[in-house]
Amino acid sequence: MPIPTDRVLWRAADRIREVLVRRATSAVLPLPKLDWLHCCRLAEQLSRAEALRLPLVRKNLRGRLYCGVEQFRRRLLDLLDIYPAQLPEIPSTREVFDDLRALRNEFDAVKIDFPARVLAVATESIVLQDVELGAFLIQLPWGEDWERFLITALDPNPARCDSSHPHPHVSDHSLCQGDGRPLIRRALRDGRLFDFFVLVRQVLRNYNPGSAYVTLDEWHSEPCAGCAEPTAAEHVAACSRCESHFCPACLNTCPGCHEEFCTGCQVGCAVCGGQTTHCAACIGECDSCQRVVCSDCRSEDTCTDCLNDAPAAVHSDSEAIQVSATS
Amino acid sequence: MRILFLNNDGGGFADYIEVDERTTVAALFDERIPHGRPEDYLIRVNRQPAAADHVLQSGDRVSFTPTKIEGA
Repeated sequence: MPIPTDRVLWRAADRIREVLVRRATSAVLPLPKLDWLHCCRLAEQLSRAEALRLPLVRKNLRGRLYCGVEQFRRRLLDLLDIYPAQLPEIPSTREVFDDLRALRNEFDAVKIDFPARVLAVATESIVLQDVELGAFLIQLPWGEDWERFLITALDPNPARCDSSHPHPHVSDHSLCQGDGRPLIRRALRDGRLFDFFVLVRQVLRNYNPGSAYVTLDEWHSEPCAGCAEPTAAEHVAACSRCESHFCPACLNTCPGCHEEFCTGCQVGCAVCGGQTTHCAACIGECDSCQRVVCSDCRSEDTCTDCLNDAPAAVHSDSEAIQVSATS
Repeated sequence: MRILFLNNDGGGFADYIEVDERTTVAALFDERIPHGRPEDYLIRVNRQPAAADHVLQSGDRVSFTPTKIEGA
């Protein structure tokens, strides 16, 4: 990524400040009217349900009203963050330039895409608990909704079980900001670009196992194709037939060829039942009864059951001959 | 003298505050984040890393950002 010159930074600072001014002066307060109307409707329905003595409906509506009010409260609190009592001071072009210049010193790379109106920085390679996640690109679109910034892995090492998580707190290019949310919002509201990028980087540098999309313990694990349990890469093995990956508990060794097979690719012997399971290649059909039997329960092409029954069959035949002779 | 102080430990507010002449970065840190340890913060003066004994000037922009900010 080429390093932007001071001249380019000035140009970007000028464009970004124009947007900041426009945003501050044309701000329309987006009051959560629909959320409020939703609460009003639920409250009316609740009072009707109470008048009609409908306890189950009343219980359901009370729960929905609680959720509606909570949602309304959250929207109002968000508004307080975005629209404080006094409009934040708009940084001067010089201040925006200083932010951009500081970004150039702070980060490995800074990219300014004028046509797309995107300011991006690249972090250093991030390692969390010995898991190397690689560098990340933080992209801030300055022309539209600033809160829709994107996180992209530059040298992706995503969770093996779900490639949409290149970081424990990133899902589909979106950062789950956690404790950083109010700080990041205020930095964006005030047009403090340097603080914004530093704060996002700090969130990326940290790990909270309690709320990660995928914990680092499971980073190199993959779900077993049989039981879906996350299994560490070193313990995963492929079935010799279907080649899907399984945990050790879902693989069995074929006594015939000693290869590993999943339960779906193994066949139970009709004679010894579930005691031994073999792969399709090591199991055969009994010529006499046509049942599928393992090599241990088969001599030549006849199963042991048929072999054991054979003398009895001969005996009964001779008896029949004797009977017919006497008669 | 007046400086711009950004406390990214609290709500992330940016405020102009009055500080005494010859105030050092360490003194401001002790005053504003009495229970914190400087090594747990990115301490910047005018967006640049600063030494503890750096003496603040009027109009400086000082920010304290915790190094540990957990995502969710």
